[in-house]
Amino acid sequence: LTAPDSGRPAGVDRGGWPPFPRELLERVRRREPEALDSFFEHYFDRVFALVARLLGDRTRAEDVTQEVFLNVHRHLERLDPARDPAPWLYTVATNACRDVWRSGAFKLERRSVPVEDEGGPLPLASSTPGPERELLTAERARRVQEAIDRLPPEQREAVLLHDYEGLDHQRVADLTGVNHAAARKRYSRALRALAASLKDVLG
Amino acid sequence: MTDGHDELTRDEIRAREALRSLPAPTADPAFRARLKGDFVRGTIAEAPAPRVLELPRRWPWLGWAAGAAAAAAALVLVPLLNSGPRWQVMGLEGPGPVRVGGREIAADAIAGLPARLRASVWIEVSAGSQLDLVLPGVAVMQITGGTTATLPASPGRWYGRLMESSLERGEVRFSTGPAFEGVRLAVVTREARAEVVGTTFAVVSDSIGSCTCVFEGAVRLVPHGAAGEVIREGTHRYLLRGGAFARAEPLPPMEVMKLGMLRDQADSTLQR
Repeated sequence: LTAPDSGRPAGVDRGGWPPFPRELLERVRRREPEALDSFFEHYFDRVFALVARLLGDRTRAEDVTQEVFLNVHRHLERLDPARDPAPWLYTVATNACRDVWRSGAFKLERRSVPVEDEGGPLPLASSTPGPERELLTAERARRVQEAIDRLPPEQREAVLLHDYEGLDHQRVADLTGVNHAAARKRYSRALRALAASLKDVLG
Repeated sequence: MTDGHDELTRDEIRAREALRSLPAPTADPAFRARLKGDFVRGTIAEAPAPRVLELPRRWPWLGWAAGAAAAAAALVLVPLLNSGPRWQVMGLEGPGPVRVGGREIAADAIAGLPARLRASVWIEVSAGSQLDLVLPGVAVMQITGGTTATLPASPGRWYGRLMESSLERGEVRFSTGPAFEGVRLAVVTREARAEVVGTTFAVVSDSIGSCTCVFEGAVRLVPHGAAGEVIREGTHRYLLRGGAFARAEPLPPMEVMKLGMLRDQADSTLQR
């Protein structure tokens, strides 16, 4: 559980998560409650969203997000106050997802438990304005998620980290343990497969 | 080392834009609040992985024994702490009997029924009767006469938050309550799987196929091995035995009345 070294200063990617205030990192290392509160608020939603998209399953995403924050809490002393913790968190989160993909239970279940909607429970039409439009938007997002779920895990990682999280290919390569060319190839294959799956939905 | 891409096709550009515009899924607020509390207080490190005591090296087997004991305790305690409410009987209308897990229970012996209401147990309600069950705060389930279905598991506090009922034949109706938030409910028939997040609805499995009737909210009906359709509030739709969808139609008045009554019953029972 070590932060990957991409060989470049933190915070130069075109995308990714905004940096956590450096002045608070030392206090996070000391496990001061206020600093832990800020750290959680800064990263929780981002970690959960990434994990939920990678796994395509909200309930399992909760389990994995809990595992990520448990791992982080156990190893807070490894935080380097001079470095952005985001790459470390990406690594912990993607490793936890890979563990899930490798599990037999996930392979059995994934065909029947997609993320059912975006941003919370399906709205009750009687209490929400524009339910038809929201349903159509949610339906389209669901189809996109289903297409993502059908990708092999390494392609899913490549395309989500690049296009959903906005990381460049070198960063994706660093996080996934392959070289730049391999990361690009995985991305290209994933995008080609998504385009084929979604042709009817997006056309 | 460039980050640019070879020329993308129009479909690839559309797929990329669709992916980039995906909204961020949000976690159940109750889960978020609990995890935050545990993370800030440091209690997150306690429950899932009990620390093994360090023991003198001359008795290394004691370390294994302590680890095994801790693991056994966790195996027992975690499911206990995770367990949700138990199903209760609201009422049995009609002469009965009801078969639960293959055992027949007469209408006048209904007091013995709650002890048999375990996850995934098969329930058969004889023709002319109706069984109403409640999972306090979570949902009301109505099983009509001539129905054979399994009882969904009570959702756990932290994991196992999928409630699933298999409907072999007949009709089941559900209405969900305030503690349903973050839980998924699915009714599986031989043709399809109806998934909901919070609603009042019915699923009927008969000789024609599976009919899903939605009184409130929306239900996604997913045929086995095919893409699904959203069934909207106030409508019902048949998925025929051959796998084809019939046209969506307004809810029949009788079903509006039945589901409306169930919703009213759920409002008072689940304190919505």
